[in-house]
Amino acid sequence: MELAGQVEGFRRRGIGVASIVPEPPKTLAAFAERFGIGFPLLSDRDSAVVRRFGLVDPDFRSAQLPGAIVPYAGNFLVDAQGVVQAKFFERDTENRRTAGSVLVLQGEGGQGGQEFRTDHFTLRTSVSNTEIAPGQRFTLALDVEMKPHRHAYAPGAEGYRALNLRLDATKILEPHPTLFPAPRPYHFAPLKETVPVFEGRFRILKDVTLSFWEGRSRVSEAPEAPLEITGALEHQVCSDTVCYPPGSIPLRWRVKIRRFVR
Amino acid sequence: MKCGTLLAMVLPLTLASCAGPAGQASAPPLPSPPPAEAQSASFDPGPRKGERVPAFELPDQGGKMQSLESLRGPNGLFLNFNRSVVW
Repeated sequence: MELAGQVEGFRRRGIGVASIVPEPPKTLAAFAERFGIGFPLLSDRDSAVVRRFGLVDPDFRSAQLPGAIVPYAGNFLVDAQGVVQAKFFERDTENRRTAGSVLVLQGEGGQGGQEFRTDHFTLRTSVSNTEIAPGQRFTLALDVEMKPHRHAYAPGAEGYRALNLRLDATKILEPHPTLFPAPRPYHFAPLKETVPVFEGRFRILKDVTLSFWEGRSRVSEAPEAPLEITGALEHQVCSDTVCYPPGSIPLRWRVKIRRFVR
Repeated sequence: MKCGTLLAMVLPLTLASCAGPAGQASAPPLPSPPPAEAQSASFDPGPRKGERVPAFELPDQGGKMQSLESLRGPNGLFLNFNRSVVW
């Protein structure tokens, strides 16, 4: 249960954690003890809460559990009054965003990663999860801190090398679009141009889903199967008076593939 | 040719003609991208963003009845729905 490893991160942010599942409390107690789970597992045996929330998956069919009512698997982030702040559900419940990814989307730092100090900015990389199971959608984070009076070009800045997070293609990783914060328009009087830029501190995020399949064979779920994600951050930085040559920082995230707890 | 392209080729010369307006580089830090951008817009079962979730009360693994009020932290609750605890 990936969520178990993220409970501390949520608590640090003043957010409680609970999971609603169909098993009876006794089964949940045994599971919690076996895996050292210290957050509430809630037993919704008759699926009443699943129904009240409107989460019943009408397409679920199971030979083992005929007539079973099961929910779409997913997560709500609600405020203290119960108002939904964010929600994370996928039509294909085999592919799911990790709780670690939700935390990174909320602004929490990720794990592992590298640090680069250039003449113009500092870059720290991290990843929402260092152990990833097939089907999980996780998040790569790049925290950038520009030096004073330096700006990097944002996507859409014509004539400059805009920031671009490029991942090397692999058979087992499905990259999703890169998320940038809103850029600031920078008016450059001498050229009478306004271009989108990033300044100060900002964060770039990229989701990646680990596939179940590597070509036609199952992705290895050996406990120690390492996975290296590589790519580069392409960039160009200018000051108020000088533009520097475009650059590219090679990036690497080391994670492990693990099997689901069953 | 854009200023940046030109400068990239002649660096590290400083070109006075590319001097930008003063004071623009010290803008406040930009926010992180809103989480909404990372969510699927087409598939949205259950209570929507901005809506209040239904009240619920269920027993936990210790048999204790729990609700939003007992589970939430000062900043809210991460509420997970799963088909099985072993998923």
